[in-house]
Amino acid sequence: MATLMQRSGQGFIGLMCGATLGYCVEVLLGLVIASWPFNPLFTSLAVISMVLQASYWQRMYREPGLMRQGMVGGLMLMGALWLFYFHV
Amino acid sequence: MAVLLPRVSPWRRTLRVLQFLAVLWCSLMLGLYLSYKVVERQWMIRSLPAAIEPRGVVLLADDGGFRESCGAAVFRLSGDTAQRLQEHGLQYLEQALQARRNNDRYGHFEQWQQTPLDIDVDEGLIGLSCAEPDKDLQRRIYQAAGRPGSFYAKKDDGLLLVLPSEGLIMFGYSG
Repeated sequence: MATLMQRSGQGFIGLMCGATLGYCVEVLLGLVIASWPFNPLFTSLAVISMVLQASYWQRMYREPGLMRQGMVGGLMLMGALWLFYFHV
Repeated sequence: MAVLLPRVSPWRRTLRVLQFLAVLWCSLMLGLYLSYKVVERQWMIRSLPAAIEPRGVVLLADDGGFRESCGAAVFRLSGDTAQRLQEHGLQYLEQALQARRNNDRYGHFEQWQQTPLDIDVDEGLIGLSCAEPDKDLQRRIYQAAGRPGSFYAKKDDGLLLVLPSEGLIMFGYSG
């Protein structure tokens, strides 16, 4: 049970990391095409969150696992949301 | 067993918990903001008559007013609607006078007309300046609105422009 919770927790952390990275990339994408507008509050929040996530990113880089899969999931989620908002 | 499990000092554990909580809070805020953006997008789509089908947001912004606000939503025009406009012109829009979201007078547009639109030099197009579009988008909208080939409908506090030549829909509001 503890292992299951630990594994889900890792996946969830990966998901948050991926989603935050996805958002930052999409704000930058706004320099070239229609994308999330630069919002000073939420962009700063995302950048602060990325800094706080540094140790998680190091861990994902060192060992492939559930956290990395969660990160890919978070990126895909943000990509899907972006496609829905700007292209559907 | 004691050798296998890494010993973590209590302050380090507290720090990790705080780090997780901070990341969780930031993610929740970001999630709420993006959810708001999606709801706002759907709300603006529902402000358009059903015959006008948008395909993705180009710009959606306002001045941030609470009870009364000024802003604009610019969408891409769907291929279907563009084709129908090309085939039937103004006739296609004759029945498109009511917003999707409400049947009362707030959602009612006046009769559709063909451009060129008489644009007030000082005030510009209603709501567009509040949305602060980039220069290129602003130029495209003003040029298409100022020459024949596009359509517009006014309402109490708004203006709906359909610009087939640019493949754009603009809904500006103020009030």
